[in-house]
Amino acid sequence: MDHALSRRNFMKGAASVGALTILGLTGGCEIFEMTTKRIQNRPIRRNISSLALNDPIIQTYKDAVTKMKALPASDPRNWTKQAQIHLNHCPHNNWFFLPWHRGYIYYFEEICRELTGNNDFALPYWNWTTNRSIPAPFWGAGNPLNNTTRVATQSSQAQLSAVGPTVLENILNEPNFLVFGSGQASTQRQNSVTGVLEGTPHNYIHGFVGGDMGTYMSPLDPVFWTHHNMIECCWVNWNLTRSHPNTNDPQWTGFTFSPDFVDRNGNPVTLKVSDTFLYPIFLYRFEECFPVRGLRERSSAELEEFVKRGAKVKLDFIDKVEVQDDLMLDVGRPMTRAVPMKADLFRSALTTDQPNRLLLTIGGVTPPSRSDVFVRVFVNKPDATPDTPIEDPHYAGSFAFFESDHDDQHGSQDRQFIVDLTETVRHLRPKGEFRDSSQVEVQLVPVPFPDREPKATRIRVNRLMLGISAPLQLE
Amino acid sequence: MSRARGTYRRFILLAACAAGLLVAVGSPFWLDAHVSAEQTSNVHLTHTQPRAVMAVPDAVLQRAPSLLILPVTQINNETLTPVSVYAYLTWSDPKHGNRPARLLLGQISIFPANQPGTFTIRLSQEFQELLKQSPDFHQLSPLLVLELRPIHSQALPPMDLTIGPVEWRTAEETTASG
Repeated sequence: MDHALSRRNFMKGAASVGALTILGLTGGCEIFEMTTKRIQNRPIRRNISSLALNDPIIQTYKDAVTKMKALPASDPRNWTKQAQIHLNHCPHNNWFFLPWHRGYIYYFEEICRELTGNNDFALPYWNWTTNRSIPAPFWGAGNPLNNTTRVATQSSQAQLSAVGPTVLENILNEPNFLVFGSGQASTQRQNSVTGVLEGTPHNYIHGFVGGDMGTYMSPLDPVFWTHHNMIECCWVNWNLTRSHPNTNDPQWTGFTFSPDFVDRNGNPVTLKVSDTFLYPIFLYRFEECFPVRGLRERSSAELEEFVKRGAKVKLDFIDKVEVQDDLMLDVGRPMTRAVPMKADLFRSALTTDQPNRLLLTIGGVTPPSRSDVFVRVFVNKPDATPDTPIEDPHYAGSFAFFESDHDDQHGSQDRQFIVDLTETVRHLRPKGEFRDSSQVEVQLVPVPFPDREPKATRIRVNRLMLGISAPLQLE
Repeated sequence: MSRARGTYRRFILLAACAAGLLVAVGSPFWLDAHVSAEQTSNVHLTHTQPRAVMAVPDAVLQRAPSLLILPVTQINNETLTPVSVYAYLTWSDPKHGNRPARLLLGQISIFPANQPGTFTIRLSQEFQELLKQSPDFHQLSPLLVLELRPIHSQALPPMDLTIGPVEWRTAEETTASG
């Protein structure tokens, strides 16, 4: 009997939680009960260091690796073929890093189940924060989990400054997905800003283990899968345990990895980023890698609800003032506009012990026809130019455009961007810059990218909105 | 522009004073460090000169940044030796006879070991507390130290790495698009 949820059942069950709830409320049905039971009893991914060497989970993992190595090279589930998926498709240094590897290790886990016949198998993880040496199950001559190319020895210890609890706590408390999970990119292998989880513990462990692990063929070392399972555990902890929302940018949620992976039978799988959101709620769960004291354990239903709400998260404005205008920006022609503000609400955002934020929304933006400029936003800086440094205390933030912004299918005629002005106005206020708190003057300054000669730089903006928001809250 | 020149001169002065102080107190850690006062220049780290030191502008500290961005724009590492880059803040500590104090801001690692990328260090609560508790911290000649280190205890084989202008960002400067 197959205890694992098939993709079809998962999609039926997970993506239509509302329908399932209705089924339950209308007297229940067998499908609903069966699916609920499967979700409740979904496999637990455990810390490998808490398992005995003869634990069935480790035995199954060894068995699976042995069988994958024995498959013919023509079988896409073959050990080397699986590593080549990583070599040829893995996204690094951008926001697809986390969902791609989530899909990759999930389908690997499914292949392990299929080849061993153990449908309860859940891939264990290596918690390098609590056990800084490569765990014992990965060593020993003739052990299929061993890899002789490693640089690290059995007694080598990863450094606390890369994987220690203080470092991880700092990373897991970062609220911004783009900082936590790496920056925006429009294609799978485009380099963006490497996030703190990827750039510090993730990259370090690849180098620390060394050998195959130091290359894009790293999945040849069985440690790889348990390392990335730990990265997955960190993401689950960040997102579900600590309730930090993932981005809801449709360029991310709607992106499809196609067809990078194969399922348990070796058939190609097309996977959308948004498909992966519910994996840790419906398909597996973790023995917690970073327990957070004082948190109540939530049921699957509550987590489902959280993810649903998270996908629809919006900024709630306590108050806002919108200015409709038709503004044309050009390099060398910065724009200044005064946006009115209610004085009492403005003051509430200026007080540092208040959680309210002062956000500027730049809406109805028609991007330039080429992405060779971006826009810097200043507050109370009428003489701002492209040469004004971002260290200037009037600088508030910037926004830029993707190539795909020029594609009409992506709604290029009405892009909007948000810049948080809070810290800037808080810094400027003691200097007496906001004696008249009934308005905020903002400057939008188009700036050419370094080493580029901008050709088509005209940017149209037809809406500015200044709003006071409460902090982003999902619960 | 004259204000910018003044700021630039102040950085040079700060960096030179701090470097002089560090040498004067005889801390061998810093003796082979390159000191650059120009915040916007590239930094080159090599197996023979694995450290670089640069001034941290007043304006940066006044903004209480939460992120340090390190753009590793180029790396020659033929042996694919796994390496990390450590970022420290160092200053002369008046509480301890102006001896150099230092705080590890964080580290990043290169994967694969010859792959450039733009890396992020999230500045710790300790760093934020330091700025909060010492409003005149910028007067203590703070310097940013970047250090190239092998992940395994071994001598660095020939390699060189270029880090583009580092960037200090507040949380709000990581903008969200609509």
